[in-house]
Amino acid sequence: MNKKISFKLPILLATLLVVVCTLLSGCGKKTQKMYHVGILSGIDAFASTADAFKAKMTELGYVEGKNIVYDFQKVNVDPAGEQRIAKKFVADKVDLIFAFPTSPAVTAKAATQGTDIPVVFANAGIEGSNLVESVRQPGGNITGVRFPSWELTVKRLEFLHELVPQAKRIYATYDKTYPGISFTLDELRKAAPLMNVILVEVPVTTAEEIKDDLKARSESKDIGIDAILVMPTLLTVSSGFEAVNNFAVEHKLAVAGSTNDNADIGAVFSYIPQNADFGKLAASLADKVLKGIPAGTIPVGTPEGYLRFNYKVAQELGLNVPEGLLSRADEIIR
Amino acid sequence: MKRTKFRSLTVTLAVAFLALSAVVLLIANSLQIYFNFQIQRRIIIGQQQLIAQKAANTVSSFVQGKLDVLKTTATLGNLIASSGQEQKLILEKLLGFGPAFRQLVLFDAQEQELLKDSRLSNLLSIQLTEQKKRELFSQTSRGKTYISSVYIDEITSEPMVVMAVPIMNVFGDFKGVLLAEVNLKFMWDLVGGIKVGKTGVAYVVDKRGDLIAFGDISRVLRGENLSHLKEINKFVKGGMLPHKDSADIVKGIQGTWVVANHAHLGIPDWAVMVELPVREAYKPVLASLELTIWTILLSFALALVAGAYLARRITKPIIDLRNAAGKIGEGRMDTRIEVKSQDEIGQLAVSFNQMVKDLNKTTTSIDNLNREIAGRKKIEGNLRDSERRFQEVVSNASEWVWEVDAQGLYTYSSPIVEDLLGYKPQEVVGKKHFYDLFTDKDRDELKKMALEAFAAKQPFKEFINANIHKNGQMVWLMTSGVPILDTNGNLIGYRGSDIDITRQKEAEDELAVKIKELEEFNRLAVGREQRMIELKEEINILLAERGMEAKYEIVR
Repeated sequence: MNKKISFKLPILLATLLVVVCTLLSGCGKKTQKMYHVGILSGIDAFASTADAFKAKMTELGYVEGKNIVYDFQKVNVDPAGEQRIAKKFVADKVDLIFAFPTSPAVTAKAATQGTDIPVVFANAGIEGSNLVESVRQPGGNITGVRFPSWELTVKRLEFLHELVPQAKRIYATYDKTYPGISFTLDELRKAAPLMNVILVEVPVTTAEEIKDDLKARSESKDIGIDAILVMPTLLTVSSGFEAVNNFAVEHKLAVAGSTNDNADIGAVFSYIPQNADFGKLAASLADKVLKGIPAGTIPVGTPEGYLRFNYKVAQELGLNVPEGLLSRADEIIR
Repeated sequence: MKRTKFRSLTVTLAVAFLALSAVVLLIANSLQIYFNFQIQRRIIIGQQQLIAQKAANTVSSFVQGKLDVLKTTATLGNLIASSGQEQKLILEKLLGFGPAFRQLVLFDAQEQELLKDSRLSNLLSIQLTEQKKRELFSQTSRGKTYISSVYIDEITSEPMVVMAVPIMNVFGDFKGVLLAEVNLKFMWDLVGGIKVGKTGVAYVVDKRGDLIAFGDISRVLRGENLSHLKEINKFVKGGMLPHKDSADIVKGIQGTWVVANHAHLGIPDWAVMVELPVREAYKPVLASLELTIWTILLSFALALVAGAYLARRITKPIIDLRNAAGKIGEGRMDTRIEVKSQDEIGQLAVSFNQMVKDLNKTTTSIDNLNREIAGRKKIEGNLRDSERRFQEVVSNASEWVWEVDAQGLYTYSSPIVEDLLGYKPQEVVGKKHFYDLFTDKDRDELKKMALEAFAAKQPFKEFINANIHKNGQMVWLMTSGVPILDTNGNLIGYRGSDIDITRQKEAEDELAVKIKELEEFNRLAVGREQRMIELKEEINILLAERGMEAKYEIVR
C-alpha cells in the first residue's frame, strides 16, 4: 500500500508543480478591466465635448472597445429624456457617468444617489445648481469641469467695452429661470458701472418674448441699446440668438457671443471655453476617478476662456479693433 | 534493562535527505536572488535618475520659459518709457502669449502700479500682500527675479505663483517691475503626465516641503507639508542632487513603500520627486522570488517524498531482515527474505538466507538440544561410574592392569604393580618398558618375541614370563594383552593384565619333584606299602590344596 503511494506521489507533485507554474504565469497576465462609461449630452451645442473627452481618454490609455466602452446618449434640452437616460445608466451599473451641461449633471447626480456610481460633469454651472459643495472639495461622489459662467460673462462685457467703448447701453436678455443666472447678473451689475456702461436687462422665459422685445425696439424711434451681450442661458444661445443676431445685423450692433459658434454666425467675438477643453479636463478627472480616487475629493476643474474674434464682422460694423484685443484672441476669423 | 527510544532509520534518512536538499536549495536560490536584486537595484537607480532629471527639466523649463518671456519683455519692451497705450498693448500681447499668464502688472521703481491686465474680469485683480510686495521689491531692486510661494486661487482652486522680473535701463538702473501671476495648472498637467514606470508617481515640492504639484490635486489643495518623508527631508535639508548610488526604500507620498529619488530644479527652488512602488521596481526580482519560493516549496515536497521513498527503499530490506530475524527468533526456521536488489543489501539478504539455511542444518530445536544434553549428561555419568568401577576393580583385583605404547613403554599401571613387583605405578609409567622387568637371561629373547607380536598387532594370551621384583626375587607372571589401534588401524600400544603365578609355578615344580620321587620310590622300594600309603596321602593332600580330587584311595 505504502509502496504504491510512494510511487504515485512524485508524479502527483510534478503535476502540481506544472499546474502551479501555469497558474503563476497566468496570474501575471491580469485580465484588463473593461470600464463602462455612460455619456449624457444634454444639448447639441456641447455635444463635441464628448469627442474631446473620448480622445483624451484614449490618450490616457482608455482605448474604446479594448478597456472602455462608452454608452453615448444625447438629448437636446429634454429634461425627461435626461432622467430616462440617467436611470438607464444606473440600471446598467456603469462605472462612471459623464454628463454635461448643468441640467444633465444635476439629473445624473440625483439618479446616482444611493449608488456608488461616480459622476463627472462638464460645462456645468456650479453656482446656484447645488451640484457641488465647493470647487476644492466637491463632496459626494461627483466632480467635474465647471462652466466659468460669471467670470467669462463679465470679461466678455469688458472685451465688448474695449471693442466699442462708445456703446454705453448693453443689451442683456436672459432666461430668468436658468439656474445660477442671478449670480452672473450680480457680478455684471458690479462691473458695468466701473466701465461706465448700462446693462439693459431683459428677463424672459421664451424666445418669443425676446422677439417681441426686439420687435418693439425696432418699432420705436430709439432702439435703446448700443451693443449686445449674449447671456449664458440655454435659451439665449440657441433659439434666442437668432432673433438677437438678426436684430444686430439690421441695426449694425456688435454682438458678444456666448458659445464658440456664435462668432461664426454673426457675433463679433465669442469668449467661452472650448468644448474640447471641457472634454479634456473632464477626461483627466474621469481617469483619476477610475483609478480609485473618490470623485468628491477631486477639485472641480476650470477651463480657460477661448477668444474667437470674427474680424470680418468687425470690419462690416466699421469697428476700429484695438491691436491688444486681437493679440489676446486665440483665434481670428478673417 | 534500560529501554532506549526507537528511532526509525527511515525517518532519519528521509530527514537527512530533506535537510540536505533544503540547504542546497536555499543557498543556491538565495545567491541567485541576491544577485538579481543587486542588478535590478542598479537598473532602478539609473532609471529613476533619468526620470527625475527629465521631470525636473520639464518643470524647470515651464517656469524658466515664463520667466524668459517676462525678462525678454522687460528688456526689449522699453516698458517704463512707453506710453500707456503702448504698455497696455505689450501686456495684452503677453496675455495672448499663453493661458499660463493670468494677470500682468507693471510697477515703476517707486512701487506704484502703472498698469494691470488680466485674463479674468478686472473685478478679480491680484491682491499682493504688503509682505509679498516687500519681498518682491527687495529682490527685484537688486536685479534678481522673484518667484513667490505657490498659492491656490479661491475661485478656480488652481495653483498660482507670482513671478516678477526687474526692468532696468541700459545703465543697469532699476526702473520698475513686471509682475505676472502664473497659473501652475499647466505645470500640474505636465507633472501629472510624467510617467514613472506603470504605477509610479512624480510630484513637486517647494523648499519647505510643501506639495505643489501632484496627480491627486486635492492633496495639493490641502497644502500638505511632506517634509516628514525621508526623501523630501533630504531635499529640505539641502540634498539638491539626485543620489547616484542608492535606491532607498522609503515611505512614499501614498504611504506605501517606494523607491524614491529627487531632482532639484534650481530656479525655482523646488524639487521633483519620483517614486516607484517597490512592488513594481523590484517586480522581476519579486517574480523570481515568488517563483523561487514556489520552487523551493515544491522541491521540499518532492525531496520529502523522494527522501521518504529512497529511505524506504533502503530500509525496507533492512526492516524485512529485522522482521525475518524476529520470526526466526520465534522459531520459524522456514523464514526467507525475498532478494530484489543487487547491491550490498541484496548481498546481505542472500547471506542472511544462507545463514538461516545453515542454521537449519546444524541446529535442531531446543527440545532436541536439551534431550541431547540430557543424554550426554547421562552418558557422562555412566562413564564416570564405569571409570570409578574400573578404578575399584583395578585397585581391588589381584591382576595387574597396564597399558604400553608401541615401543613398550608403560603408559598406565594399576596400583597392584607394587604388590606384584615392588614398584609404585609412577615408578613404572613413562619410565620402564615392559622388557626392563624381565630377567636378564630371558630379556632379549622375550623382547624379540613380544615386539614381533606387536608388529603383527596380534593379541596374546597367558604368556608366562619371569620378572624381577624390585627386591631382586623372581616373580612369575602370566600376561594377556590386546593391541590398541587408532581409527586408521595403526598401532598405538597394548593394553593388558598380568597375574602372579609364582606360587602356582612353585607348587607345580614341587609336585613334579614329588611325583618324580614317588615314581623313583615305587620303582626302587616295593613293599614299603605304609610308606606308599603315606606318600599317597601326602599326594592327596597336595592335590586337595590345589582343589583337585584325591588321586589315591587309601585303604587301611
